Amino acid sequence: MNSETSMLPVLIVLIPLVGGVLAPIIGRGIFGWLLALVTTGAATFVSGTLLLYIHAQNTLTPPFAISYPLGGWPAPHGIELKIDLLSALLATLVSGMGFMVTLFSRQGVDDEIPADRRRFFWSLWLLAITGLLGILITGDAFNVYVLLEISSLTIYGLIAMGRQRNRQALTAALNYLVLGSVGASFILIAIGLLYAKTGTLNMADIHAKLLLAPVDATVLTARAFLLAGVALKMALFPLHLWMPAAYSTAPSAVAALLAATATKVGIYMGMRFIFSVFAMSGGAALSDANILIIGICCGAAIIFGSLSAARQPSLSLLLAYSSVAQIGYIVVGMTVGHIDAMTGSILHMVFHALIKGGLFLCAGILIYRLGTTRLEDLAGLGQRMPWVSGAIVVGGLGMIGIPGTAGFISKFYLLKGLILSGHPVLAGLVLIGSVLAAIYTWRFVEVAYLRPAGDTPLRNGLPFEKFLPVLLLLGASIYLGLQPGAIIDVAHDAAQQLLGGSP
Amino acid sequence: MSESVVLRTIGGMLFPYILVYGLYVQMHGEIGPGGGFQAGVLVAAAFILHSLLFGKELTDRLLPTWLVDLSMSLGVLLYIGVGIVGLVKGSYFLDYSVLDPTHPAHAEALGMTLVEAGVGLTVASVILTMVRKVNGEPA
Amino acid sequence: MSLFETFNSIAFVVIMMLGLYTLIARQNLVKKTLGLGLFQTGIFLMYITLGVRDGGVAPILQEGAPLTYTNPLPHVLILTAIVVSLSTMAVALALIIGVREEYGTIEADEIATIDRADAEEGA
Repeated sequence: MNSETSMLPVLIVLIPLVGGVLAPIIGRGIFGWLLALVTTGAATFVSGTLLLYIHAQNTLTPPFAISYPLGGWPAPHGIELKIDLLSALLATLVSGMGFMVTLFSRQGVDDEIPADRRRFFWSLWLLAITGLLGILITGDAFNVYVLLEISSLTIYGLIAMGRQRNRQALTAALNYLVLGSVGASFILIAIGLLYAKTGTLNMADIHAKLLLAPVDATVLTARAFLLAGVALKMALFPLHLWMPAAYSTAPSAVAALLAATATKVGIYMGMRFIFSVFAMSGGAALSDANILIIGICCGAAIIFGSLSAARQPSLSLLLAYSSVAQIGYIVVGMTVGHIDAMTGSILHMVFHALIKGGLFLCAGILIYRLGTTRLEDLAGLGQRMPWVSGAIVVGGLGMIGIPGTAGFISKFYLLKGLILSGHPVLAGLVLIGSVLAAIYTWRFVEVAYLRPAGDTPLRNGLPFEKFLPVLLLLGASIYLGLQPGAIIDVAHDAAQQLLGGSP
Repeated sequence: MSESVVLRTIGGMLFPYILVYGLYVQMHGEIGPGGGFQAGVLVAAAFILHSLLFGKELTDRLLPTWLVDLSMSLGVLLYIGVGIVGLVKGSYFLDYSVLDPTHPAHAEALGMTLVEAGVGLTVASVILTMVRKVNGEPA
Repeated sequence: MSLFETFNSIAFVVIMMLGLYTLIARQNLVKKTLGLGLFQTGIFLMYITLGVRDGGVAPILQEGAPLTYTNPLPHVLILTAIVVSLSTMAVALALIIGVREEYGTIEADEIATIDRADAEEGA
């Protein structure tokens, strides 16, 4: 690896961290927004460069991963950053979404956050992105816990900043804090048990040592605690209860960022631990009993999430419950261990981040102009705000998986993988989910297009900088639906690395 | 402002000793229990005692709010700065041995001391800020 | 396993369960936060117990013949985890102050009642 790329891994985390620490000092007024924009943009550039580099190297000599020992202390004694294809892909996604939402949210922040708090808002924002990016690139188990708590604590604070618009933001943040801390503590217990068993904290080293040792109660307990903690962080049914309240009461920029990134990072943690740490030789990472239980949870997530989404009184809650269902798709593809299902899972992570991020930004536009996302107030939106309504419909079609949208590509791979690996029931659930997604998309279409225009006052204009990220994100979902070759390639190689037991 | 003469006198006498003990704990992190976190909490405790006994206004004059806010960020920046020195000199992030190329072992000790100082600064400021907010003072 | 480790193993499970019970069963938000802190303290005890070695001394390097030291790595991990626990409780208490300002109460069941009433009004 040449010297230019040698410090890039640590820069991914360092740039937002420095930004987050500088924000309370220099972040007054518009400078906070500019600082956030510059740092997230730089982080995106760095992760994107690394992604291209790793993908190119991986095509030559699979499996390829960059290892960066912090402080020069070599693994397994030191903490190392380990970036493989999945890490690089998700790091680019998270920093890219951070940049997009930052671009979008200048007026939103002015609107929803009191003036004396804004520099702290930007500080928490950048520190949350730092934590999320760090989880993606670290190769040390305890480092995962520390960065997880960094991102979680800042996110609790960010959600609570929505109290100006809706005081339930405080109870939502408190609820998420309690549940999230218990989940993170479970992960801590799991890491402690793994350390007791193997004597090391480096994830690759734990994997090597676990392969040599017999599977006993310690390992099984550690895995159980880990799955429970991770399931809570990624809002898998029935541990999703914190999510709808948190997403609908947070400031609109925060909701968009969380919907696009926080749960994906939770899913990444699950993938990383199950397939790169706990995987037994022979590639079987989860037993059939495990797959059954997780499959039931995913099926319940898909059905319950989609049905609940159709009953919600506001667009934000509808989108939140729809996310519960989408996470069901991603996790069900992850558990069966088949290369196509895993590819579909990774693709859906990326596409869902793009589409849901775009949809929550649309909800943010609605809050900015209408002050509410209650469906009864959105009557006739098709006439009053045609561009935004159209964007929401495009997003909904992506959720359903209409051919031509990115959602179709990921669902296709999921179905193919599930059927080929002998789980037709789960495949059927994915199909049912698409039909149910049509139900809640239709609910919005019915309100927006088939009802006479309501009279909630429209204030402010539609600033181009708010609509541009929406255009880019939802446009990307259409583009990737029509030209998916490159992203399928990357996702497939990432899945290959993961299932091949690569560290 | 506490009205008891005994409390104010004893507290005022103890205040500098608590600070010195905090500094001692800070410096002795490598050879005994101590280090940045513990020292930061001790120093913050000294100032909290001061504000309990003498009132918020006097403590604010002693240690203004903007200084506390600034030192929160400065502590972390010191830590990152030590790490970046390693990057600038062509080695890895947080590689302390580049601080003094002739004596890498001494450089490691220097790096650790600086890093702990940064941690202590940030922890003390954060805890002071937390207590100030709980008391209802503005940001 | 020595008697010390056996006692500790039972103790940390008891502490964790007490903390979890307090978190779930108590309605007062501050008591819930204390339960969370207690739960995390039990985990710290577990980590430190893992590092104990028979006849080990405190892990501070001493001159002279090599001694059996207790493993210092869990101690370092716990330092970090204690700070995380402190921060979590600080954020929780800050949120509880906000809740008290907005709702006038810090009992979870009363807050839920107020929220339900708000939802029915269509607020």
